[in-house]
Amino acid sequence: MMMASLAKPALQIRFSPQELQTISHQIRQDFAPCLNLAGVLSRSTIKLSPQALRDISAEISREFAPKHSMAEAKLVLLPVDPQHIHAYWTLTTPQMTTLSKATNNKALTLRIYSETPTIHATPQPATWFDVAIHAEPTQQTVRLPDTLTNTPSARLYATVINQANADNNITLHVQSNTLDYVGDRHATDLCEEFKSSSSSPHYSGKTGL
Amino acid sequence: MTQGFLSIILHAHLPFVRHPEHERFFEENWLFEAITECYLPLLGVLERLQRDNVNYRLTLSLSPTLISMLCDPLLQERYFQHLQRLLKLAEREIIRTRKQPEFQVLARLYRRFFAQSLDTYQTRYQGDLLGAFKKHHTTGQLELITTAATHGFLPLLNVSETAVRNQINVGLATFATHFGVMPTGFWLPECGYYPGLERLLGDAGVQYFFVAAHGLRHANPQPTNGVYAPLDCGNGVAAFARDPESAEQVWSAAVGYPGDVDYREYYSDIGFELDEDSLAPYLPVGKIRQNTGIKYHRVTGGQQAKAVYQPRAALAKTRQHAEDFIFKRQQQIGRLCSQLQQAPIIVAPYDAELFGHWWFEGPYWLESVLRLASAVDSGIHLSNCGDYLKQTHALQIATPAASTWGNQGYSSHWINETNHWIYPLLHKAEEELEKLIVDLQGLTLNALQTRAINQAVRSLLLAQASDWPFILKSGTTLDYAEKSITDHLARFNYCHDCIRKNKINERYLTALELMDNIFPDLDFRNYFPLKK
Repeated sequence: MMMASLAKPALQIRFSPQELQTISHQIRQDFAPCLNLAGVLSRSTIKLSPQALRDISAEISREFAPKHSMAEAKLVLLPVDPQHIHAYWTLTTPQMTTLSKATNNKALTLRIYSETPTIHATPQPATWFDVAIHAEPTQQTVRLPDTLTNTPSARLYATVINQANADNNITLHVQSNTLDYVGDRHATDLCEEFKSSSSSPHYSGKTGL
Repeated sequence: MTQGFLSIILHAHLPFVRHPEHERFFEENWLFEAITECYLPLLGVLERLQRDNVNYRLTLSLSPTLISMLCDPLLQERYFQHLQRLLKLAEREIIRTRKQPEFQVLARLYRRFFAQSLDTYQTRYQGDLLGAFKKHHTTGQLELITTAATHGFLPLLNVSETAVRNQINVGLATFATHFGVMPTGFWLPECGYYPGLERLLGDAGVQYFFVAAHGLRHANPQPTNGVYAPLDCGNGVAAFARDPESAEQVWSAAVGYPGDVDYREYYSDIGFELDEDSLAPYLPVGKIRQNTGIKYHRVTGGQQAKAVYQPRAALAKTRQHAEDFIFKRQQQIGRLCSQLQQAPIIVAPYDAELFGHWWFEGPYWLESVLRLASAVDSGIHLSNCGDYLKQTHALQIATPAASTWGNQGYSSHWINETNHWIYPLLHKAEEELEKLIVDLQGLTLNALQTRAINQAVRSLLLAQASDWPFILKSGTTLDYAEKSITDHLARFNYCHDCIRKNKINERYLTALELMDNIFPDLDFRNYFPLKK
């Protein structure tokens, strides 16, 4: 009785062969048994000596060493502390070529915008400040201006620009992520609190051997 | 007597330092030393407290990398060999010091210590330290929690929410696999918090986490009970803050207990003091020198020559220091009770490896503290944070401030001129992995392809460990940290490349799986970015 009552409604739904195939494919894809690596390894017929492992490791480290990509322009802001952020950027090869033609020293500007939260439904205009940078090296820690560090919070984003064109127009190279900045409202009491941990054995237990 | 709560948390973590490609590997000793000096003594403390029916409460955070290494058969076997080498070395020391009785007494003590460690590890626990901790967890007295998968420093991984989510979820899943339950608490690596992280923790089922004191003190809105009550982050996830006073009493190099003149001097070790022949059974000939754990001197103090270690005097000092710690907590609680609207909770988190490794007598101090605090008339209610939340109904709602427990209180220890080069590489790999997994959605993958993508996720996780930028900054084992990051990223690049090109060499893939065998149940499908 139970089977019949369960099966009955299903009979009322009709599927085309194509639909059945799609459902079957979807189930196979979404509910495939999870691969257990331990099982795979124990079944593996491949035996590797420590020397073979070292050789493979060395080859992969040599041939696939991490490299900075210049395929895509990138600008990323990272939080350091309430007074500083860290920025890294990458320009594409065509951008670098254009830049080299325009200016010898590849001088650029990192324009950092800050938006403070809306007050009384009035959107606050974004303000910005500029930091002179070079196309290379591609990282820099930036000290934030006092006007910003005195605000309780802001949303930061940045662009890399240059104004070195013949007609002095701004060329936008790349835009950053946004970074939620929280100001340091009580900077002074941190010094006391961390006086101890700066010279403490925190963590060095794993590294001081 | 006024009552306040005291919650002691030990965070146990080591980076993944398993190297089957070498017969012996220097950094594997980090694990072996921690087992001998920290984890086995800690279990000894818990056993004695249980035997004596002490109604203690303690929280232990076990990192997923440490969990993985503690149950790894290769490392278990190597630890056994390590202890046997130490025993031989201690026996040779007994002979070498035959004309120096004050040293020979200590050499005999070390032989007993190593023999006891071997016996406990092999006979009592049969190598299963996780099972031993789990036994105490089931009594309800020891609360076990965990942390991010490879201890990734989340504020600097936050360029990709998927990467942060993966660190959290793989960490929790690893814990659940080994302990059969989900932890209620989560240790943020380096107490690294940024506003918004509570959402991901809440999604993962975490009920509470810890922040540095200024994380709570600068919360928005400002907390009414300072750092002595947890906050509800707005989504039901609670944030507890580290108490600065109890932290300083233990951590401070100037006034902290571990620097007492009677305690054993960490930096005096025969591994650096004896000639190579004397160390031969322990130290492979021609290899770099390392700690042996055999140390004959005490801190002593001042500029005078180091005096010989006196274990009894040191043990007596642990009791004095435990009494002092409890006395100061009682005073603190009394003071806070008159200022706050509710009974305060003092949260005292420490690195587990401080107790026994850096501070040899630390486990005895901890045992005394737990015994004293558990006394009915102590005025202190020992509690785990999970239990505390069960008894507490309404928490103030506020968002903690971005913070870490590192030097200066923010992220500068993990991003500075010594280590900033790693972040573009890490973020690039995270982006590539995310894109790869999105691209593969809807495609049917064979077992080999599935293995390759899972291995790519493992390699990326291993590269993300907070340990590597920390070591690059502290400058201790620079080469190893640099090589670990670049090797793991190269392994990621290899897996990514071979999946993209659909040319997977099973031999190479198996080699990577054998070397980085962490998180065997990992499923790359969980790395999929959530729709915003």
